[in-house]
Amino acid sequence: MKARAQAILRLLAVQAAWTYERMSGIGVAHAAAPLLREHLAAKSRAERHAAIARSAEFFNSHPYLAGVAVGAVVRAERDAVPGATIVRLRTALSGPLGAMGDQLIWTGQVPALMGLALAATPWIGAWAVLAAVVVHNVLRLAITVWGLDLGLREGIGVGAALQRSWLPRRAEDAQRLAAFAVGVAIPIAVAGLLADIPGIPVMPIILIGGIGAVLAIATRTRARVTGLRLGLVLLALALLVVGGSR
Amino acid sequence: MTLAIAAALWLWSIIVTVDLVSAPQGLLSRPLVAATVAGLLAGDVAAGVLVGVALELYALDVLPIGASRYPDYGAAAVAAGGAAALVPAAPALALAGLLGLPLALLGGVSLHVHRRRNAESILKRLPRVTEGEARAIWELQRNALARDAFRGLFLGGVGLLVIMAAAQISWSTISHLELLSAATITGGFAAALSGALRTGGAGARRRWLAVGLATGLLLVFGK
Amino acid sequence: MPLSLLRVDDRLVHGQVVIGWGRPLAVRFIVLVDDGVRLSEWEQDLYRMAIPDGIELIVVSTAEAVRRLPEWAADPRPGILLTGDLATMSTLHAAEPALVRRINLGGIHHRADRVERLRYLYLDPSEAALLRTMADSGAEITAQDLPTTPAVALAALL
Repeated sequence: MKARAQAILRLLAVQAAWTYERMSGIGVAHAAAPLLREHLAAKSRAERHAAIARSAEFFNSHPYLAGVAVGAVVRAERDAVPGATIVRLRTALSGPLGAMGDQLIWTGQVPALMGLALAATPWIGAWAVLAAVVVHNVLRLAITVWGLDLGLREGIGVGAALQRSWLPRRAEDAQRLAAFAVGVAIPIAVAGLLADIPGIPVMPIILIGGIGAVLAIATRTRARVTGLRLGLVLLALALLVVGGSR
Repeated sequence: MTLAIAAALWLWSIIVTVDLVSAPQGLLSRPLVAATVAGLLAGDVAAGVLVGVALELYALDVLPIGASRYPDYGAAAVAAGGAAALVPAAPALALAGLLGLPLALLGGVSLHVHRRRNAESILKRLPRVTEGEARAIWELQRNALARDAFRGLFLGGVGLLVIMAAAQISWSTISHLELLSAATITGGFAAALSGALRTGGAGARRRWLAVGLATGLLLVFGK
Repeated sequence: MPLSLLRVDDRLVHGQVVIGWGRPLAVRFIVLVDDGVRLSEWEQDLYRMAIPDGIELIVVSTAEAVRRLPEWAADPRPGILLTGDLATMSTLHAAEPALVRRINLGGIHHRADRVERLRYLYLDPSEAALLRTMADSGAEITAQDLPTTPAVALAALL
């Protein structure tokens, strides 16, 4: 298998050895290793090992965009950029790639697709779920390949290339779509679930849920109140009633 | 539950557990996906979808950024979706709450433990990693993937035990079960709404959320 | 309005800052205090790219930050001030103790000489001593990676 294909495959598991100490460092080095072997073939074994060791240091970014850093670092190593500059490049890429990936994927693509799937299940059932999975994985693979190629092409100049790319603009678009899709999904999903328990009064559920949502975002209570905790407390209370009435 | 269904659910639990963080992060671990497929494997896809919708509302509140800790809904949704399909006498939404939510918390704890084990594994090979030995890096990745699969094996096993326990309860003799379903929905509604408001922030995104909510309400009342 | 968040985070601008804190605080500007980044145009471009629409990124050196702290404190917009290390935050605190009082430890990550205090907070002995000194001179220091997690008091860390 060619080094690039190997790197792409390995980027799909870039967080496998995730730790609090190095975060994705080991996964990034694992993805970079075949490329470093190929691109640094003319260099000494010690130089190749030093490059892999640098890649395995602490690295925190979004997993789908880690390929940008892998590609840029491999290209910089091939271009004989000084080791200290490469370390600085990794550090500088880490936060921004994380921030952009979090906006594009975690608060964009993923909630957008899950929101649309939730909203569509009353009409097309499990097909909505299948469609969301297919679309997500096509995009996930495309973003990974695009990121790696961009990094390999641009090296130390990857920051300017990222700025010119579609990424910063589409991140905001994805988040707006996500906000809309989740907005559509919440009433449809809740109404669909309520239909499963006919006869139960709707208003207390909406009222208690609404108060719970407000407490979960209010400054004073947000560190203690979550929807999950509220659900568990309500379930415990319901169990008391159910147990008492047996 | 037949042996084939148990084996299929167990294998699916392992796949969704590994998918969450290790590989390939392809949405399989989302509760809507995990529970729907579990329902399909157990013979009632509609029950799986219902459980998946309920747990997905909770998962919309999760933001997996940095070193933050969060519940793992994957194997939990498989157990709850499988139980809803295999124990038709029990209300699916009650199972989603009673089985899915505590198992998701257990999944979150197991992920934290998994990350600590990864760190111990790196520590054992630290001199080789510091020297940039590719073989050591590969061993760390391989072992971490195997460890995560074992995490799925554990969570899937617990899930199967919970399904078997749920099958032993004579649900028809219990009254007010609808309260358990109502509790599950209420928490899910709070989670999804707070998550949407928090990540929506202010400005244009908040307006898009408002338009979405209005559209959703129109579709609900127009249906 | 005083700065909404004064944060020490070695990743500088990343998801926890722009989404985790930025959204609930409705932040309109982020001040990045780092002498290295101040001198590097390409690094500034990278960090600027990660900033969502509607938020201004101000990159300054430590000396510039000391001079401009009163200006940001008087800014009516909600803002975040970020430093990549404790030494920089300590300098700002020493210069303007009233304006740099409530300090958030958001991410100081692993290094060979550091010891884990929280999963996102690793400190070496000199950093621990620096935190004690800042606390003794009136700084209110807590560790909290995201607004949805409980803040941990300095006394519980050291």
